[in-house]
Amino acid sequence: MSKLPFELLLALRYLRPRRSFVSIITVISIIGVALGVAVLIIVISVMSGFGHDLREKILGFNAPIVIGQNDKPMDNYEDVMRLVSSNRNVTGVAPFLLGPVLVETQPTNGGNALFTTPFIRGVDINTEGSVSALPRSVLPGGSFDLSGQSIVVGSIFAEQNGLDIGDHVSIYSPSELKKMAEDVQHGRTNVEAILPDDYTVTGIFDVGYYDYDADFIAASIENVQDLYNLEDSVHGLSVQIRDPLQAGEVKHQLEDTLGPNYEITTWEEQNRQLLGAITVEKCLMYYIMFFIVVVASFGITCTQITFVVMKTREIGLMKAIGASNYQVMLVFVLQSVVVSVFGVASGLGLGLFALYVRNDFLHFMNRLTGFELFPASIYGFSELPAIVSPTDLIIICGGSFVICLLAAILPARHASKMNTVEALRYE
Amino acid sequence: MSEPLLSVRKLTKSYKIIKRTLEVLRGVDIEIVRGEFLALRGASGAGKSTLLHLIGGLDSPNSGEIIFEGKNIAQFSETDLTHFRNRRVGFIFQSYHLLPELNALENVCLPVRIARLPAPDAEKRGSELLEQVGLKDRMEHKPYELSGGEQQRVAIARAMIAEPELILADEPTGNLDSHTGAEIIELLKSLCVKRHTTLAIATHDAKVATCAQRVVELVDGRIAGG
Repeated sequence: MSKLPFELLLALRYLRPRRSFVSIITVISIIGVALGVAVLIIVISVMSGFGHDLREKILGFNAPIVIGQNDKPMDNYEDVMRLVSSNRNVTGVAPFLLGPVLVETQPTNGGNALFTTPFIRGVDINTEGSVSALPRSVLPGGSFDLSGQSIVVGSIFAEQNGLDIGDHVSIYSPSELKKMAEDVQHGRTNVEAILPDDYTVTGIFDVGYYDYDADFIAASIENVQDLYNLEDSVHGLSVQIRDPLQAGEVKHQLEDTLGPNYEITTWEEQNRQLLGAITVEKCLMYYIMFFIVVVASFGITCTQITFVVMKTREIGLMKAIGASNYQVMLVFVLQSVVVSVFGVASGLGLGLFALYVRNDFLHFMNRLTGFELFPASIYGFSELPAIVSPTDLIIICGGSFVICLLAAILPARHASKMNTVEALRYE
Repeated sequence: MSEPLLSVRKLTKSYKIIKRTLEVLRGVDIEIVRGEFLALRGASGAGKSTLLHLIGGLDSPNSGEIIFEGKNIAQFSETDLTHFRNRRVGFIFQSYHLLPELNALENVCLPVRIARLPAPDAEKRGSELLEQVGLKDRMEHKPYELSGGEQQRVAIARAMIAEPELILADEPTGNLDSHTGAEIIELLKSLCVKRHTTLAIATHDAKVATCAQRVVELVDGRIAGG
């Protein structure tokens, strides 16, 4: 004879009807909970992965802290670099220039030239590697070579403009375009035409984030200074720090060091809207998705109500032979505990498996439907990101379990409060 | 004469059915002596089952006293009543009321498992009782694998396992043929004698009543001649 307490023994037996291994009602209840938990795990993990990858991509291309001089280019940047480098939290400093340019392709196959307006980033080849992943993001076949009239371009930019290693492009600087426009406006016809600078593509980078790969090109700091007529000035300094999450604190330290003439911004401030939206979205998803579990738990409530009605006479008997209200309630609560544990565990397994095969499934669906379900042009990522956080798993599994348990309380309480004689006479 | 195990005084019970009040017991006085076999006879609706339910603590009276070993169970708390039903009385019902999910042995052991008796001790007691009721080879059988007579034997063993002072049987032969019914009454009687247990049976069957030491007639919620 089983040594289990009678409440647990009965709860387990109730889940196994006479003629089959497990009751169909039990299976349906477990599936309901499992699907709710699995969907919750998948959605929250993808959202976490999306947020994490986005931060990685942002920090891969941009430094956590950027220093500029109020309303003007920075001409004493080497002195400022020395001051900034003296901070113990700073691991790298690099000058940069950033602004829009007009690029004209030079097709070799006789096709029409394409015009685009990407951002050009002027970087110091010696120090850029200490503040961003750009030098390491150049695809095989090219190099991070910015000597002479060389540029590296984003992979999507290269694809959209039909560019490859060794191709040439013309770059019009904004200051020269402005000068030409002023000459035309003032009717000056006796001026020399300014020709764009020709550049050779020496590398194609892929930082994995659509906006950067589609809209950015990089050149040497000297070339971009020429394009912007800045002589030896730069737009600012990129600062790499030990822990990007401490950017706010380091910013205050640098403000104290540099004084009020410098504008210091962190990566979180620059991307405040995007990062804020992701956090809010994840919280909202938590709320919305938990309602799926709540709906699944209604399944447990309905099942248990039906079951309690079916077992009315047995409840009467249990009470007649001395089971307390608490013991009767425990029988039905334990039954729901078993359903909830199996449901949550199955959901956990299903959710983790679905996350494991998410990209294979995505590619399969893309092939099957001929439609890109997760377009990189919208989401910025070519693969579906996901991070399985133990904290999220504990919240999801624990929360779902508690919801299912609460759903079972009402029918179990109803069972315990039954009038013994009426229950025994129930037909 | 032996001391009374149970005294019922001026017991009344009525039920409200929609706007009508149905008086089932109208002032019942009765004493049950320790060790006796009492038959409560009466027509259907006379109040036999209601009286047994009240005596067994399954329901509460409107007024009156049920004194069991000096204590009025009509004033017991829910916890005391639960304990009373579990340890002091054993119930046998007309329709057996065995749990279909449990086998014969598990059904028999249910009252002592509710009382948290360790499983090996419960199993020992249950096996002995099942052997005494002639179901030694049917211990692992589920109720639907047993005949009506066998199911009632399991119910008798279940009522006895907690070694209660009083067994209350409500029409125990009502669902059985006369031969099996007689066997069940004989078994019940012999077990109660052997274990010095008091037995009160509600029945409308004159043959069953003749087996009892004392017969009390209930007519329209009153003891006849009382």
